[in-house]
Amino acid sequence: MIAVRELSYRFGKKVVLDDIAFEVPQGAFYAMLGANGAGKTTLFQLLASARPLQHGSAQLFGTPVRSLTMAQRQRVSYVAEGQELPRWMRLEQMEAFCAPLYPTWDAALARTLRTQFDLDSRQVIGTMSRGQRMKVALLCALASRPTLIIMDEPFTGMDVAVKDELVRGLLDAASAEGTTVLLCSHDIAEIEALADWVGILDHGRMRMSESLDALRARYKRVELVTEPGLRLPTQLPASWLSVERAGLRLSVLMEQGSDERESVVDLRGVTRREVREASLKELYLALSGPPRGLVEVAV
Amino acid sequence: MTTIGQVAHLVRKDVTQFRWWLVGYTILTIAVTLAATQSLTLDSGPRAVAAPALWVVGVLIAALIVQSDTPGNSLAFWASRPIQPLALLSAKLCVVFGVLVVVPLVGLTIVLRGYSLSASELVSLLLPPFLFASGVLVAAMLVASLTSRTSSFLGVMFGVPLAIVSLASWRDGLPAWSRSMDAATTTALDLAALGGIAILLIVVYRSRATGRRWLAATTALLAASAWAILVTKTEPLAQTVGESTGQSVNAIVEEGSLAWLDPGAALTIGVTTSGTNQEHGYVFRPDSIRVDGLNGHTMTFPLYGLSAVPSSVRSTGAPQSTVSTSRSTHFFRFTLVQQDSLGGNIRHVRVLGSVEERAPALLASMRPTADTVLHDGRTRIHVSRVVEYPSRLRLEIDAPMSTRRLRSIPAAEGSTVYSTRLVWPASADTVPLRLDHRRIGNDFLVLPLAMKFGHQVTIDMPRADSLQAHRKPPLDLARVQIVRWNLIASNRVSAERALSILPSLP
Repeated sequence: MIAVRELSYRFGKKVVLDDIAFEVPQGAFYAMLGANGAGKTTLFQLLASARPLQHGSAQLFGTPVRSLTMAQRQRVSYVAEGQELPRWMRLEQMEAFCAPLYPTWDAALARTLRTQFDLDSRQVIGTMSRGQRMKVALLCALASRPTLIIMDEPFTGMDVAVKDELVRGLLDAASAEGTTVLLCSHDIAEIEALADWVGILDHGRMRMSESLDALRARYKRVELVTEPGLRLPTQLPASWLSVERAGLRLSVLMEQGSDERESVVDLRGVTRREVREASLKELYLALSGPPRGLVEVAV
Repeated sequence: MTTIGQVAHLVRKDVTQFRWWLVGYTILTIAVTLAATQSLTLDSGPRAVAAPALWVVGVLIAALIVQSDTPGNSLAFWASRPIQPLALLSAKLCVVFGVLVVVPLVGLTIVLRGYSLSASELVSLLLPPFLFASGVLVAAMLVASLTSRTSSFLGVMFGVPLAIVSLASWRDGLPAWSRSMDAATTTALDLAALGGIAILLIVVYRSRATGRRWLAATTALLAASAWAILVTKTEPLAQTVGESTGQSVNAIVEEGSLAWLDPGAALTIGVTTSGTNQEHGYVFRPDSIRVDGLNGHTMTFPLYGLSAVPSSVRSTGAPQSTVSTSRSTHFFRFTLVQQDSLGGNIRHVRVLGSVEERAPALLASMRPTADTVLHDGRTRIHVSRVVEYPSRLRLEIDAPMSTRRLRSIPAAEGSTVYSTRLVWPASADTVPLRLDHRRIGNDFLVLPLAMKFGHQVTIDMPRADSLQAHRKPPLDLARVQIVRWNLIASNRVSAERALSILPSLP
């Protein structure tokens, strides 16, 4: 569905994206994670044709973004925080404006979403709150029944109930109609319930891109309770992504299959050992940014 | 949705969004046009404000329309929709040109149709203002597409030319421009400029150009254009045109003025000059009256500047050989003396004349206290002070004038009309110059074809009776200004009266 190769982008002298490469399979729910300024928004804008490419290639539906046909562009929806909406329009005018642009526009779904989001069709968009405007953007994005939805911080300003409904709606769409979703959000816990593919963007570089299942299969969280006075080696094993110590408790996020190094821990007198699945947040924190080393946590 | 459908869809959106602006602009344009065509009294004050206001409002509307969907803004709503950039540009052009260009052009056409111009004359007349308006609006759209805020747009669009004007004015004074170019050259240059800006605009939309470099380049282009226009001197001491001096003119044959024409008796026909179209710079100048007699004879009586005036025409208050009407003369009478050929009853009177356009710039602006010679490519003007009469100036104009032929008038009728005036720095002291001979009204100098290769006239300077003595400023501060009026079409019918047939006297 999405294939990006050697994609670079710069604002003047500042490199925002540096040799990005990743793929999103059809029907995937792909979560792009990254800190502020990592380049997610620029990347999404490039994919949504909102910004012209500078270097490298980006393909949607097997076609370079800059060569997308109108029919292909009609199958893509893009929602972004801060995206400008025609503030002078009423919601009903907005729907009337969008509908002819998309042959697959679903007026019934638009009505359903309007009710679900508790939006007044007569209200002028400029008088809406930030959260309501985001709902309008989502309504327009979803009612066009797209094949690919690109969402940049779509949950901003939404109350919890609506966010849950939206998440369910997105999951339904992705599973029932094979819609591909590319999404970024700072709400990692929310994303974890949705995503089946994850990419991590760090300072314009792609740290990793793979399915969440594979990621979880590759990394595990080992919780240890040690004897007093345990001394960790100065040079932590390379397979240890992060180590946290709180009193006698030691928590290690490590690559699966690094038994030998785990046994090193065992040899130093571990009284209790527990292995569990790493959360997306833990993986993101461990995989993004510089190596963190040992983190001492006050008990 | 096809591309055309998409353009129409976007046009509908923009028209809805800016409906009040567009309606207001259209109403303003219609009001100005109606005032121009219907008002018989001249009041240049409100109209002098209305025309520039229309321009400023038009440019502002164009900017607002473009900035509602700026091409370089990646967060703009349209940017991530299935909308082609060129469809968006086409829609913007349709709205801007449809309202801001076509509506005023239709207004102008209505005004000019009142002068009975033919289609080809209309086209040749409307093409220059169309190109000029298009150039300004496309340039405004280009600047607006590279700026996201109205204030930035206004700063670049008006600030840069103003700065250049100030700089050029401080450096050399403001020269006139395009005076030495013929119409074809000017049109070609306008077309080239319009094409260049339009291509740049398309590039901006296609590439979603944004950023300071593009804006800086456009600003530099504007500044260079303004500079080129302002500092390209065709003549020294020239200035941009000031207020219009024309006051014209739809000639109207006085109602009930015609009667039975007895052999040997005199018949007075009144011609009222009224109405003008000053803000557009067009005038109607009556130059002959055609009279149809019941006996089938038709005679045309010239009203000015003819070397062979039929003996049947006798005017009041003017030399026998020259009968004229002026834009500044609100009422004029002349007398027909019956000839055998006309005989009997008159059934039809038509006032014929020419439609003229004020030249876009002053022909000359010269000091009256020293000898000055100016050339503008086709005209030489020489102002000299006559020593023995300190209050007199000699004005010589050499101009190869275009020949103007009126049907049914065998004499040579070519002429060029100049308006002359004396202007002191305070505009309130502006006075028209009186001509000591060939005086045509107060401020118009008519050069008949007989003077094709040159004309010399001595101008009486204003004396104490033309300006109050205590207000009369020194002559050293004054300038002689000369404006040329260009012929657009001749032999037009301005007014027509069909007369009831009176019973023949026994």
